[in-house]
Amino acid sequence: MNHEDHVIATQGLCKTFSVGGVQQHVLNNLDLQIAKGDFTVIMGNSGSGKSTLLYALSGMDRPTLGKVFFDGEEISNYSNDKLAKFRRLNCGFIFQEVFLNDNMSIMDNVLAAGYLSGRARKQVYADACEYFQSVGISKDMYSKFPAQMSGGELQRVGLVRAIINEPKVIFADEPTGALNSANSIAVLDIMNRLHADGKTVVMVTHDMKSAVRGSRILYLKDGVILNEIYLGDYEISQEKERFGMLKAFLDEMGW
Amino acid sequence: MLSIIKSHFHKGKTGFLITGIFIILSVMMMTIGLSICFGMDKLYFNARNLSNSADCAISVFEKSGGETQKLLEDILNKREDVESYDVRTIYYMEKRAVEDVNNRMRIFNDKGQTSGFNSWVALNIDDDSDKFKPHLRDTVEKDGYKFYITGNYAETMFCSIGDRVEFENGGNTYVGYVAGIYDDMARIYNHVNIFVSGDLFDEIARISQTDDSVTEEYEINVRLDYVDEKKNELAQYEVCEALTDALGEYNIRNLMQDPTFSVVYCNDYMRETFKSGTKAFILLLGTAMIAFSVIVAVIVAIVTAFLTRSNILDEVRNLGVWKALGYTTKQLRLSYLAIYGVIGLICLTIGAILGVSLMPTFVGIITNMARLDLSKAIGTHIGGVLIAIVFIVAVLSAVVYLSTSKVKKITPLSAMRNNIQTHSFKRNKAPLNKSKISLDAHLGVKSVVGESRRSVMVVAIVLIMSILCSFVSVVYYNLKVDQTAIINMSGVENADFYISFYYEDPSPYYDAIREMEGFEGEAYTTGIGTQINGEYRYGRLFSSFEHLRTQFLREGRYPKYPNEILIEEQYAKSKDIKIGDSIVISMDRDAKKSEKECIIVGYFQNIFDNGAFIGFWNIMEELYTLDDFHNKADHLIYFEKGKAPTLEQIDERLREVSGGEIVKYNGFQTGRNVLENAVLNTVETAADAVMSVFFSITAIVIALLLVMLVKLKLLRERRNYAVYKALGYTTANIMTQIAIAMVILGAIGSVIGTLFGALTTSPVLSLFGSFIGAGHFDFVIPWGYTVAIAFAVPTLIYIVSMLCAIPVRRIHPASLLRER
Repeated sequence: MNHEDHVIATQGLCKTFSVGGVQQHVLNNLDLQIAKGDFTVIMGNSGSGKSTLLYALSGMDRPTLGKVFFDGEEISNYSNDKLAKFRRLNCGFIFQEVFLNDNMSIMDNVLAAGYLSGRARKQVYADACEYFQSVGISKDMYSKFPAQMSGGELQRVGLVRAIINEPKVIFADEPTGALNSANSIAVLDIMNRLHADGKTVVMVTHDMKSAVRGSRILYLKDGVILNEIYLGDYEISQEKERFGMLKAFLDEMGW
Repeated sequence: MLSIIKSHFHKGKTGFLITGIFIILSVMMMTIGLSICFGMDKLYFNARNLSNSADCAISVFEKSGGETQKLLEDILNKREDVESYDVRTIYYMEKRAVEDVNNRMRIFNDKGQTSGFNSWVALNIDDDSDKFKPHLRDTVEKDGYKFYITGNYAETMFCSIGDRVEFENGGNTYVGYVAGIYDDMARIYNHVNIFVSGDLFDEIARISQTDDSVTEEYEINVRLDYVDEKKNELAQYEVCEALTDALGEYNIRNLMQDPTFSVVYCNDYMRETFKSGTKAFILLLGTAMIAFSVIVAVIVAIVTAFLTRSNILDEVRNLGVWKALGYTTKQLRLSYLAIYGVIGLICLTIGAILGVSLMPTFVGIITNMARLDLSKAIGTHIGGVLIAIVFIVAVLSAVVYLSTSKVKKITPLSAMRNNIQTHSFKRNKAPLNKSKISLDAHLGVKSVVGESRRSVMVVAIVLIMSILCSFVSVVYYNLKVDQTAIINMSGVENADFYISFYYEDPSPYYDAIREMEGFEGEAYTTGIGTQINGEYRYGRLFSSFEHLRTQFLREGRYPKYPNEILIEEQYAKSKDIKIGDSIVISMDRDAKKSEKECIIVGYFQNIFDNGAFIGFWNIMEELYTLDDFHNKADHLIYFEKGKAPTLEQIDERLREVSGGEIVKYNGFQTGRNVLENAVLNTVETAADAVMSVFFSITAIVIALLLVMLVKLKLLRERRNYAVYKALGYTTANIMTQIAIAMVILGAIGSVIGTLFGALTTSPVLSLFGSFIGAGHFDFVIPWGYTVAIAFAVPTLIYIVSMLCAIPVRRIHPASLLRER
């Protein structure tokens, strides 16, 4: 297999947890390739291993067995520090609970990630301002603290933090899980925009409205990819058809 | 209720554990400190009884059974405050017929070092009729003559029981060993009293028949009624004065009848001399322990308040739920009091037990300071233990009660909304976009300004500990390294040599010294017992103040005329005597009582009660009638800096004057020896004890505090750190941020603290010292030490923080984020 064709690839990926002395095989000998510029959505029931797969792909967690390749280079054998340095330059993360530091303003939360890249600080700050503007966060909000903002605003801050280092891949773990409908749409629109700009996105979700935004949907069950469907790039005018296709796919998967 | 208490405990185990350790430390030190201070009253009395010492004594340079003995016994028999007295025969061995300065009596210790005496006094240990036969500390049985030395001498000269002893006389060498150690409260600084076994004593008595360098004399030991220490002390002065005056009058009476009459000299000794030389430093140790204990109690209060308030903020939701379930504010506050009650109970018990267990170690330190075995004279004071416990309980209860006041404001509804603000949202302090420093350093700074309550606590504690470290270092430096200040306070002149000769006309010997290379000058000095305005007081006289190395003067000027004197400041204050006032100094040693009116021209300081006034030798002209007295007085010899010869070199030079004969000295020692005996040995022991105890405790307190804070931080911030790691921060980045935050706080606290401590040491010591007669400490500030501490504290903080932050390694972003 030529892993260089894909931004991310796995080979025989296994992840096992020991819970109360009992071994739980969350990912089972999983082979996967994610092409550059794809918007891949990972779906599955609770406990199917979606988040575990996301963390393994992003180098946030190490597989029990198997290999993970990023841009053709195996990252599963990296040390913790090397993985951290790898993540700061290649991965952007969006979490369901955003996980901003409550003691820092939203701008500082973004810069704390952005300055890690080693780029000129002025440039990072300018980028942060631009991204904030693009997601609808005005300048007077920069010095606000997370506790002073709504859930939708926070997730947009999370998005800016994820892209501030211009990562190769954006990993999103249930990004709309804690948002209301309007905020969810706003966040997903931004993600589609990023995808349209050429970013590779890998998103875990159990929400069909979110999943339909992806170009490729994987269905995970018992630690293996049961099946997948390719919907093509998202266009709002095709949303109904895409939704139908996705529903049929998920019904088939027994979701 | 129990479940609430359990919940509190499980969420703050590390904090409680470390608070507990602080409580243990505080109780332990207060128990020891109070036991020392409370025990001081009875310490010297107990030591007197345990060593079977006299309260005062007089040794008379005449055979026993003579006219003077009867005279002195009559005085003692008439006094109602004399409990008992005893007369013992002693033999005085003058320095004669020996080859060099120190070899008439030699003790060889196990390190191959030799110590010895020019002259010494033999007493009979086997005289069972002796009421003041010493109680021996330690004994050993070996072959040879038995010699018994004082504990003071043993510690000063590093001798111990079993050491070989050689005594040479008339070409014979008497070999024996140190068979025992004894203590003599009245003659604590008099090394030359050596008890010997009866066989050797009889031999010395036999030698005295033919050898005029061995003289039979007698001494009277007196024990006085003991109502309290103060009354006993006053009686010591009165009895010594009565006995020495009686001998003085006896001499004058006989001289008037027969100008060839040989004067009977005497020496008097008081237990009070020992007390005044050691009390200040033993009290210093005790009060320092109490002060340190109070400081640790303050830290307990700060940490407890911080932990309680933090716990309430963390537990707002749970507390709201408890309130919703029907628990009252009082019950919830009691739940905090209960947990601290349990911790307090356990730790107070451990602290008190440790205090009692460690008391013997501190008694050992006091013993080293006093150079007297006090192991049974002072012990744990039950009142001290109780006060320590009550103090900590009061501090803990008050702090917990006050810091739980926020519980009142928590309502079920507000708690559910989590509306107790944990952070200030007014201003984004230290924004990253304005940062010019490294990212880790800046995030450390943000942590400092973002968690102001914790920051204030760390700064406060480091500040307190740094003040203390700085304070201790200044004290240590001045007691051990540069002793100029303490010598100036001692009232003891630091001449190069204290020399006096046995000869009627010692001038050729003094001339020889004057001709030695580097000779700078001389003066002669003596101490005299007088009355000031009718009250017995000791004074010191100098023939000249020109070469003084010890700066006695605190205020005013040195005397220029014979009727001018310096007065001891504390004494002057107690008697409301001011510079410019006149006082009457009188002596009734003369047949006709002499009085002299003197003008006070300055104050001097004297922490060891080495005299209430300092004046010119010329005062003697009107008070004393003995012409040759100055020949017997100590001559202070001064050499130019760096050119002072050794005692041996002086002795060698003087032997040329005597034509090869052994030179006969009354006194022959360096100024350093005099100071060591009077002051320096004690203060150096105090310095070592204070330095080692306090520096180690300071390091422990700071380290424990950091362990608690970093652990608490890791617990609270682990989710943030997991996110940081997910974003690409390495373990080293996060550890550095934690350490930098602590180092910033530590540096602020330590720089301010060390500076403040260094600058306030002398004023603070003067303030407290004024109660014990030492109201002017002019300690040198050792800036090198100060800077070293200011660097050492943040360095310690950095190291401990980094070590405590190692568990950051175990924070795995995936597993922590998965926990949601």
